[in-house]
Amino acid sequence: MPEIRSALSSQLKIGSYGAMQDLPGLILREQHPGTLFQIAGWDTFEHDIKPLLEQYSFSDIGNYRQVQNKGNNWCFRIAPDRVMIRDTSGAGRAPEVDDQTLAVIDQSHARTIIQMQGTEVEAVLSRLAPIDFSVAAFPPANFVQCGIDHVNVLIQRVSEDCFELFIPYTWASSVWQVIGINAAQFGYRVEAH
Amino acid sequence: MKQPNRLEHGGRIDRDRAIEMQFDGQTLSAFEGDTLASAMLANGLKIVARGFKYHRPRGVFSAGVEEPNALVHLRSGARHEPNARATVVEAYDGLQSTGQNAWPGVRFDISAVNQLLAPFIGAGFYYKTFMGPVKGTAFWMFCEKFIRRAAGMGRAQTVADPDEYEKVNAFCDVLVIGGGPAGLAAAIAAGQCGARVILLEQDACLGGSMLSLPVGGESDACLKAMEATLKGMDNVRILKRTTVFGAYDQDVYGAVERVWDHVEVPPAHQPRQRYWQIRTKQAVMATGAIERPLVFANNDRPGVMLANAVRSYVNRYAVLPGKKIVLATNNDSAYAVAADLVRAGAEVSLLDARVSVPAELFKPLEALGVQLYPGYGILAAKGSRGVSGAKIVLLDENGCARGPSKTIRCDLIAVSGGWTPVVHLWSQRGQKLQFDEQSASFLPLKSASSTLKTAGSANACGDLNQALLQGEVAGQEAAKAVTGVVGVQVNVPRLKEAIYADDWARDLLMIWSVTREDGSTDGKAFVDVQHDVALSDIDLAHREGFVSVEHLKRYTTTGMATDQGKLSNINALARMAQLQALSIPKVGTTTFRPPYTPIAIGAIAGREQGIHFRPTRLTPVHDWHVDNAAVMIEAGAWKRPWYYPEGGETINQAYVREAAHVRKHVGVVDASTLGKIAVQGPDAAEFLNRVYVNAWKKLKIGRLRYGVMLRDDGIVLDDGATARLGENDYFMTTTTANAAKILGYLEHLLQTAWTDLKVHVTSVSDQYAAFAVAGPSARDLLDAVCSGADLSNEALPNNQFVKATIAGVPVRINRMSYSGELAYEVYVASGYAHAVWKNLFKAGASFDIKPYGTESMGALRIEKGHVAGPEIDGRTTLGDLGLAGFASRVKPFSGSVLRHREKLDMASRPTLVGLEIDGDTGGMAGSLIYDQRAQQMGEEQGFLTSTTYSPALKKYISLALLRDGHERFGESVDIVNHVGDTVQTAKVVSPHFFDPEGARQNA
Repeated sequence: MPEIRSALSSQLKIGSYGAMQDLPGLILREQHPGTLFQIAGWDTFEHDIKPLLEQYSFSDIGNYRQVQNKGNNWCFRIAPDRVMIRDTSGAGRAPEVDDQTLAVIDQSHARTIIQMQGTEVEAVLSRLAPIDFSVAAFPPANFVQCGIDHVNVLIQRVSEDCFELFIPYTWASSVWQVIGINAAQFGYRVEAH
Repeated sequence: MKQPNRLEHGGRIDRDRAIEMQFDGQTLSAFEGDTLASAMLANGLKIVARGFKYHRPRGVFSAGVEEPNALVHLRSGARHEPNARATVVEAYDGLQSTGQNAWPGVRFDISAVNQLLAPFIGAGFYYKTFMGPVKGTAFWMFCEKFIRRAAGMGRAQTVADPDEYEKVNAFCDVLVIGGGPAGLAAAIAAGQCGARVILLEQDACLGGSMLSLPVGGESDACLKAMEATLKGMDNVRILKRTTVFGAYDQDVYGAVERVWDHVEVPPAHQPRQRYWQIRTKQAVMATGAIERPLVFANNDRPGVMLANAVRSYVNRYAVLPGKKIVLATNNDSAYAVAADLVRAGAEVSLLDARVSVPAELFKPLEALGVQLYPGYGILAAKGSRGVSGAKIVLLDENGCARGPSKTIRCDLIAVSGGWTPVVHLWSQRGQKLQFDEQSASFLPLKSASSTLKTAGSANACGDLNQALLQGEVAGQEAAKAVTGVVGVQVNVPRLKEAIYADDWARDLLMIWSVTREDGSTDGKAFVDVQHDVALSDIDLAHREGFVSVEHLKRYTTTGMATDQGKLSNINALARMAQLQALSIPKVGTTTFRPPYTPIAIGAIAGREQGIHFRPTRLTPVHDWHVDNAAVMIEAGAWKRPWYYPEGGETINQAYVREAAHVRKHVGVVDASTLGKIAVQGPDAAEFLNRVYVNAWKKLKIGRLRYGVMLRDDGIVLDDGATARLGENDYFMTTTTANAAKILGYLEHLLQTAWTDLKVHVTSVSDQYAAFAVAGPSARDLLDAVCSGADLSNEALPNNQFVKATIAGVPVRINRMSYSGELAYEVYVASGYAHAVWKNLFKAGASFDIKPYGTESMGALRIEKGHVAGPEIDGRTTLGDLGLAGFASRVKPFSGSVLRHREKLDMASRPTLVGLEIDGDTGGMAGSLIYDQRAQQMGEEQGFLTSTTYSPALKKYISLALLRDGHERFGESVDIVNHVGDTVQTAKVVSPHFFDPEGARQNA
């Protein structure tokens, strides 16, 4: 099996860019999400999905802002009747479900993750999306779904100075460039994951 | 150059940092802290501009954003900026500027002859002078060319702007607009009450009106203390050089920060300007007030200025623009100005339209030697290229002359006709204003808004202490509304003693114009200086019946220049009120709209320009196409390979070669842009049955089917193929162009019309890449690379799919043909797509594989008569396209009812045909088809939709829609391209030009 090719293969070049000071204001990295799948349901979704969530040690379906994280698994409630689950254990496969009550879709290749970290991460993100990225309004282990450059993205705050952006594969190159031109004034460094 | 008007001491400039600038080739000496206007005045420049229409000489009039005259060109080359107000341009070393609207220059302008044409170019002259005399509009259209060339002020560049602009989003609890005393107090109070505060100030320094007060006074200490307090507050963010230009719904404010406008070239990677979109919970509007001019004859002469502007130049910039000054006023505020001017060394005569003046006001001035003229006003300014005197006269209660005039020689006239609170943002939010008789101004109607508060001069507050108090209260109230915190001791200073004269609203006399006894003026008396609108123009408009304020504005253009009526609105309304014997509020107001001051288009565009005007979408194999010399084309947001030229081929050579190669060997096209939608759920089959015209409930797992969708009105919407992957699992494809539209349409149906269906639709366009492998060797190629699947014709006939692996990568292979050849679509996860594609080409070398692009893909499908976007154009029906046979007669589906509307069922509708074009030139899509038998070229019979050269038929062909098409096979028709002015002939044939039986694709 060949290696998974990055959506940013020709764009992502390790190095320092922009108005570099002693330290870059921002560090950018790309990573593959691992196994990413969507589970959707209907009227009794919260009930129907519970057993599956328990397999991943999630207690319930969660809400639209807080990320649930247990070990290598993350759960994002992305719609009233949909969740997105990320599994970085390397198991590499979406679960089997009862297709009368649930529908599962593998989206492991549909997204790439751009990690943004640094002292200027909030300043850069405020140039990309109309979201309040302050810690008070957007604490760690929270997420939002919004648009960057008119592209649907999911943004998760991993820690005070680190965010992960889930970006659709075919739009990733364009969004990467937009991040770069907005980060340039602060100086940024691209690192390998 | 020496600075003849620079005072030896004082000002808030940095005398240790001398700078030099250029205006119209003349060197101006200045200091850091100056503006271009203060430097002009310091260096003795009187004429800095020419008027819009009459090209009268003009000088600096104000000291702020309200400046109507001193508009200049700034910088040169690609960074050139027109219509820059010199009063707010920060001086920097090397600044280059030139005058506008004058030739050869502002000091001598040939167009000044327009003054002789004044009788013919008054208000509304477009409609009268050039339209009335001659019947029809031909004369006007002729004259318009010249008028248009003469119109406008500055000239814009057409070279790309090299600077960067950006947009930023910000959030806060309390937004304070204005960094003057009220705003500073509000920011301190709100911050000390625990709110997250953003304070915006348009100037480069905080202080607002305090910066116009004498240096070193108590107000300076107050300002310094407030600045220090704010600096120590982490929860208060201060943005200077930032103008709030718009107030929008839901408490969103737009502001532009002039980040690096005060240098010639911004530092690398830094934006010149920054557009802030601020979302706040509460806002305090502490936007101050703008002094109002007085209207009298020749009030536009260089040397006529606003009184408080003169005070600003003296106290802030240490510039005294005149030595002998006549100061005319109708309110108290000019008295403090007079005192400062005398202390700076000027000889001052003060005309007060009020007959009786309180001793508190005049006694201090009397001691300074100011000559007071109570009850007097200025009838006319004397001088042509600069003020040389003021003709003054006693006034009656209407501002008309009473008795003989006399002349005071002077070199500067400073005027104060009252103050106009800056309430634009309040108005933009749709909040009501109320006319206040005492201040003769429109003020925010209290308690109209719960999220926008006002403070300071914007409320026509009294003096500086009042402004501080109002700011403090507004800040506290705003913070309380958000944080709920009460009872906090805030730390806002006060002056020990208020300045009596500061309270301009206390005793204002609403005399705003001075005329002769009969109401006429001794020369043009301008109401709107920037647009050259005089009293006589307003009177004329009134006489002609334009009595509505909206008509007056547009007919005379008063208030429509770049200053947007900041100095003229109230005076224009006052004149209207006078003429109609109404009160000012009864006359009404026009609507304030953003932007408050002009903003650069670059700031609005931000980063969304050039390649980032919209996002770009790349297929997972994009890099391979680029590396293999593909010429790319935009297909919506996608970049797709258009053709792959070999050896310098033109597009025509390339696509013909590629198409021929597919027909003979094997080719691969990247079809990843197709829309891909997962349709899942127990009711998925029912759902598909409703959205497609054909039947879906019996489609077996492992099969796929071509489907057509209609709009609700019966017109064809889209087509594609859908595969059944599992019991309740389908994979739909759509056309590239309609992918998002179809997903939205399906979601709309599920959420509104068919909420009972248990179906989910999810885009998987990013999850999978798709390649079409087509040609006689397609099966052999896939056999060579695939494992785990039987691809024989028996095992995998048309419209079925299998799962296989290529280079260890799981793929799904659909057998389906768009090209008419033996063809397959390979679906692979995006991350492996590049590897699989390369494997295809590696294995395909022995089959002479070639890539092909969208141009040849089009040629192939046209040869087969397959419809695509040019045929599914939003006007065609199933019947038009020859697809009526697909539609079920049994089940209902979207569009099934309205597709039988009479007009859609008419037999004479144009239907899809093929055309074989005669000759060596192809037809142009959109060309019209005419009946050769007709006596004259009458009604067209149809039009060409898609055209190509057919390598298979070795001739030019087209698909077309032709009336009674199916009955006209064999007929010869004319094809007329009215745009290109060509006529061709063609034979009408079946649209299925090539292999109509499908032998090749079924092999």
